[in-house]
Amino acid sequence: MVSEQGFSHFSRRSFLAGAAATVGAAALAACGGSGPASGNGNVTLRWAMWSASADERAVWADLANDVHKAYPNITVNLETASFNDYFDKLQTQIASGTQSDIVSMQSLRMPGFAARHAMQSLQPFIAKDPSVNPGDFFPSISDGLSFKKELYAFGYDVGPLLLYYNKDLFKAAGVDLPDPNKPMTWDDFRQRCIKLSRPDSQQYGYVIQPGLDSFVPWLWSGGGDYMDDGETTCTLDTTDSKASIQFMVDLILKDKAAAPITDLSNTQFQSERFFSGKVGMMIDGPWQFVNVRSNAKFDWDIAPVPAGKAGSVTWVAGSGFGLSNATKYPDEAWKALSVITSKASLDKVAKSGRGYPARQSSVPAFVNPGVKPEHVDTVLKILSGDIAKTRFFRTTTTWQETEVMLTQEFSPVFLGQRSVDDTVARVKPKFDDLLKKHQSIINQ
Amino acid sequence: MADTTVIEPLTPSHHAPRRTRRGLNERKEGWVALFFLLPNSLGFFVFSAFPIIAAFVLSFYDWDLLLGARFNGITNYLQLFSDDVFRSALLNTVYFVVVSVPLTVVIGLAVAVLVNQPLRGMAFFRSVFLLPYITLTVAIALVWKWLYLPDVGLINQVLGVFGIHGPAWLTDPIWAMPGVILLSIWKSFGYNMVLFLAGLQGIPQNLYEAASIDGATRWQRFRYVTLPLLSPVTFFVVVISTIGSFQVFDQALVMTQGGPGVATTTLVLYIYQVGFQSYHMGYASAIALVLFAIVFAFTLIQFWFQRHLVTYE
Repeated sequence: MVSEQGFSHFSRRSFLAGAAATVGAAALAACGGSGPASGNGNVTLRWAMWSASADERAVWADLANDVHKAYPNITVNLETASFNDYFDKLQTQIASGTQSDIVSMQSLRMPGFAARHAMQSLQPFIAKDPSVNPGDFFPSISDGLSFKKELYAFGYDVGPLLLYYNKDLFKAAGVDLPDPNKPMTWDDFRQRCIKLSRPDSQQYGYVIQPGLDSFVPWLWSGGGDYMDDGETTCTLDTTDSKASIQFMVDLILKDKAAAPITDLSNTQFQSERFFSGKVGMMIDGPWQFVNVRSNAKFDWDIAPVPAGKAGSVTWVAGSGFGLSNATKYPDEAWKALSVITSKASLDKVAKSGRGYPARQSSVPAFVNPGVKPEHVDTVLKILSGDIAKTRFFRTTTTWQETEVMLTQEFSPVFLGQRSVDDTVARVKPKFDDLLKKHQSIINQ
Repeated sequence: MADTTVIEPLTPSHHAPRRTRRGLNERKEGWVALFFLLPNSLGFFVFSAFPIIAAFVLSFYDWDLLLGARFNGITNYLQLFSDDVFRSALLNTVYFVVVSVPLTVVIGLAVAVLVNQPLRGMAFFRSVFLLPYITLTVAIALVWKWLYLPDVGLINQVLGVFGIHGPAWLTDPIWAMPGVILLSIWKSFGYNMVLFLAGLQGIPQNLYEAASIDGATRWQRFRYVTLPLLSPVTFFVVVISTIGSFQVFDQALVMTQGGPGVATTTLVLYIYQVGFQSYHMGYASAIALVLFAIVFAFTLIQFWFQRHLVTYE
């Protein structure tokens, strides 16, 4: 009946209600995310990676395509997110069992995730397929991506933190360019910063990203450290550590030779200031080459980090790709992994400037005459220990929480709102606590 | 008397429970009602009730999402007492609520009174004032971050015109929270304005006329006619604004990440840091429960006020 009253009223309403409920249920199901498709031998794998620009993403998409060319039955779908979001997402994905088959991992975060069974050891796969040639990788990156002596990921890049400088700004201010083969002293660095700075026009000699990562080279070069080798005690309260922090604080606040921190929630604060052309130097890794090339409208080059009491000491870290502990297609994922970390792939990564290759055999591909930076061989000289010392950036299984705590406690110091002594006194008990938790996790 | 007709009253037995057309309808309409309620109640249970109960249970565990959950009783709650960041977050949130709610309500009411006038172009102004409310907080926060920049930001430049040297807003521990509050007031007063507008338009005109005849001034008319009759709306606006303000998060995350230090770390931001950056789901749940208890208590207090201050016609 299609009249306007009685039962037909009811049947039309209930039809609408039923339809709405069905659509709602379907939408809920779709929210759950699509699982890997397979059937008739074709396998679709998911590969999650962080990316800060379309240029970067293109590099990885290219490698994903290469997998399909090498193994037509395997398709790799690339999922990207910003660097910070990537790790937040990864944790929740692992908890809900929806993480990708190929997991990208940074050496700094490997202990945390490996200890919590997020990825699986690659040793059994390497034993069956030694053609991947794990010995080709730089030892420091293989160390960084191992946990309890087993390799969990193949590196794609390895990088020491180095000093980027704006050649045009130096020349305009009449300051000598940094020597690419000899690190300058802290005094020399400070003098150059002062000469480069014109605070009235927001021009400064140096910019630092608020946070621990960018500060560690200063900490180490000054003879200090954030924790001891045994990973049980915080060592930020030593005289050398405090002196390094004080040096940077004075540079920003007293000498006004380094950019004041004006933005606490921008992870690109340092790079953005450098790209604006109003900052003489910044410390970052070779992974920024691709971004600096497209964003810096000035002539630039690289040099080793300034040498403090303990020389020029910088950290080495890198990232790589591994297999999730819960992948349904370990063999196909291994095949895909071996393609994207092969020499050919890393040659491409090196050529694009996205990263200094983790494979020693791909290093020649990184050197592109005519492409900035001119002194790209500085990277190899630093890595090999010729002109500077490198140490691997060790982190703990509680590093995420440690970084949150350090960011909270350190921003007032660089803003001049709390003294170095007070800050370190507050940080030490919290850091020690986190190291205790770390020890209990790795000794489980 | 042979022709008297006796009219028998209808006894209930004549209406024995037969399946009448009307009874069937009622039962079927009952099912229809259930169907209509189903999507919403399903959503409520799946996305609200169940997570709240789960959070309550979780608060007695220690869980980092990847390793198993370990029961640790009331340790999480006890830890709150010695956690100085939690203390700061609590104070910051109360500071935020106590300052922003009255201001947002008062400004909303004032603007509503202004745009309630029968002048041309009022519709335009009403839309304009509502615009910040319907814009994404994240987008607004990003723009305001630029406005607050110490040397080149617009706010300090304008202050400079009046000879005032503006502070380094978002990196100054004293001015960071006022900066966040200012943004929040600007963003939310539009919603209150709309609610108050509806309330104002529900006040009968004859009351104003009667008051004018009795010689009441504009202020007296406002105080003795408008405000009392607006009290149900005011009550609603204050309750909703308070509950919303306790959950301030987007602005703090986007503009300052809770800094400098912990000056703008609010309770919800702290929950996010503890739960999703440090991966202590149990502890984060405990903090969330505490927040829930506080908001609940505030709301109960406001309902108590309602009995005494709100006049319904």
